[in-house]
Amino acid sequence: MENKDPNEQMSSVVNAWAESQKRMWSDWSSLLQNLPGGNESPVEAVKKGVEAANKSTNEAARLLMDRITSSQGAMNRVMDFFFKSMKVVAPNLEANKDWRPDLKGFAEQWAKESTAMLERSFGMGSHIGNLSGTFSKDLPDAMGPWLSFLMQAASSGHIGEAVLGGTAGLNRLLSMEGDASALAGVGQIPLFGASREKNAKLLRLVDTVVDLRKSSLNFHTSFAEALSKAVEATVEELGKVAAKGEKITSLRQLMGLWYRTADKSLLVTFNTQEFLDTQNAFTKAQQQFKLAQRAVVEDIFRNLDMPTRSELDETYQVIHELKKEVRALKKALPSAAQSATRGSIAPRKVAAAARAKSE
Amino acid sequence: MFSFPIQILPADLVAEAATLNEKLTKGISNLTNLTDDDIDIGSTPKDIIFEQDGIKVYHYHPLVEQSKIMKTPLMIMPPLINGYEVADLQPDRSLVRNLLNQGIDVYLNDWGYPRQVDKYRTLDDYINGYFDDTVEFIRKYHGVDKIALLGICQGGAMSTTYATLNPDKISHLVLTVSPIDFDAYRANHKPHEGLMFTMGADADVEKMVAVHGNVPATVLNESFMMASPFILNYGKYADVVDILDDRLALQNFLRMEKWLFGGPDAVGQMFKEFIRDYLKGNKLVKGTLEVGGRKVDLKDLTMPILNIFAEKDHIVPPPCTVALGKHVGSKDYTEFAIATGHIGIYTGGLAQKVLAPKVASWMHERGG
Repeated sequence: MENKDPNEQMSSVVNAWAESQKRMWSDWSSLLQNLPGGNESPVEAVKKGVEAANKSTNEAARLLMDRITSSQGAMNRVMDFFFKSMKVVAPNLEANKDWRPDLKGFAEQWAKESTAMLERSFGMGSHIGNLSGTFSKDLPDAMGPWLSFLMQAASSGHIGEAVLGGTAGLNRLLSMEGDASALAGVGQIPLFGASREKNAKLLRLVDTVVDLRKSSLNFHTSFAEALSKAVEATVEELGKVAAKGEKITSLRQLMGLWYRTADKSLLVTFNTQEFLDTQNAFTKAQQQFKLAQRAVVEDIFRNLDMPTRSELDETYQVIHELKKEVRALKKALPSAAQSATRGSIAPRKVAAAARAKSE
Repeated sequence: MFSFPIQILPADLVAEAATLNEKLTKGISNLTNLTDDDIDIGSTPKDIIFEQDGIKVYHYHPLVEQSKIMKTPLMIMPPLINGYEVADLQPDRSLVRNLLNQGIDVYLNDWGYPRQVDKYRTLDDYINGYFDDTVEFIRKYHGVDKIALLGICQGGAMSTTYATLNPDKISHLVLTVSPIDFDAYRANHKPHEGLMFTMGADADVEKMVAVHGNVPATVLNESFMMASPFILNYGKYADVVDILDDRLALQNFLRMEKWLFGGPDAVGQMFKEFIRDYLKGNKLVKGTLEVGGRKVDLKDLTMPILNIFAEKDHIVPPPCTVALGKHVGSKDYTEFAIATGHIGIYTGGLAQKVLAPKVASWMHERGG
């Protein structure tokens, strides 16, 4: 029977959506019990099941399952955003009130949650923890207080917040008034002492983490705003559907409408200079973080007498120049070139699908 | 009052989820029965005739009798940032096969998969080095003074550059969805067009290359998918459930996926120079491009040119392609539009019927 109350209707759909998700994963779990990895999460189990069933003979099929299962998770988040925002919109619609302010508030909250999720997925805290653990074996004792601060910040799980908010370790290090032990450790401040270069690299890494966190929040706020505009556009589309006297009676129909409308709306936002600037700042912060991380890691590698990325790059450049010279020499000596490439000239049949990334 | 059109009953939603599950279950069974051999791409028979630094030149086996083969060979130049297989995705969707059926002798340059050791290759290395080595080799191998070139997307921009510098070696220039004027889409700009160019113009490519060395294919794919984020990331995979029980349709879907996600990384230095000079600097049409100290003046393009574009191309919008006509020195310049998209021009149903016949008749009329 048709339900004309949007508030009730949305609550009912949201509850049913949650129930169907639960049911779906439960069905998947039953289905996968007989496959390898059946005790793991459904997504991991599907991947392992397909891998095992294929015995690595079908990379494309395995990747497809990978994408279906991973896009399933992301798709659910996107649908969740839509349903939850509609739940915010629906009561206002019913009361004939402007629903946009509530939608904006919801989007802002969602941006904060996304940033926190991103930080967890980056594993920022644990990376820094591992890094300082490695450092402590190889660097002088002068690093002690800084490592202690980093470990402390890492243990909170939010290095950026720790730096901005000021942990006990950071305060001990920076507040020197009347604290003899801190004054005695002046040589341990990053810009002084024998290990200043290493310390400065570590501090730069911390700075990049802070920048990354800020730019991540900005980006996710912009993205959430873009999504809330997409919801606005979808509400308008729903109005058009209603005006035609049509109904949406299946999830696939609703997903289709949401995806099509959202894509159009998102593209308008993606083209704005404001969004491009925010996106570039986020990308730049990620890149700065990687470069600062590399600088610190290279110090560790040097201490362990292992080749660094910079040293490999120098070698690559030399190989590149040598190859260029060989090509030029071959061109200058046509007869030599002919004999040198004779092996390649003899036609060889190519087996289809024999192309591999290791070429 | 707003009459709410979402009328999904909870019971129907649960039933829909159950149906989806059932389809996925059958689909998994279907997927496990497919092997890599079933999802072959780039399968038209060919020989490797030249190989250098991981770059290969293929010569395809003829599909018509010798007397019907045109005397001028055609070399296909794919982009550096996509696999060559887009020109030969599957037997019934293959530009290569269609050209062979039209009596054209087809060669193809496969740029391969660059490794970190290759990241210092420059635009000069590619145009005056590898590209020229390939053309020189085919001229000798085939015993001709000039060959015809067919460029695909970025490979078209490179072919245009090469042909401008070497008009004495190229008899015919065919371009397909090739970006020439990277700013031309900005007039009357529609949001879905040219997003990759817009993002690229703003990107800090120096830093990107400093971080990655070679720019990973996944980064390029992500920017490609931003043109339709929900449909390409989620909608497509929700819809694929409908064909999981259709082996043939699934194979075709998987072939496209294999090509899309199996592409090469972009060579770091070359990528930097391409973005700097072609995209940001728009130097090809400004006449300020120099490669290896040689000035690239499009007025030096004097051979016959066939410029083919896709009317619904949002990656390389048509204005960016057809701008070439204003700059070339050739008096024999032809444009040809196909009502399809950027990839559809090689893999779409309509393109199978019109693209290769157009190239063949155009070459034939010009002594090919």
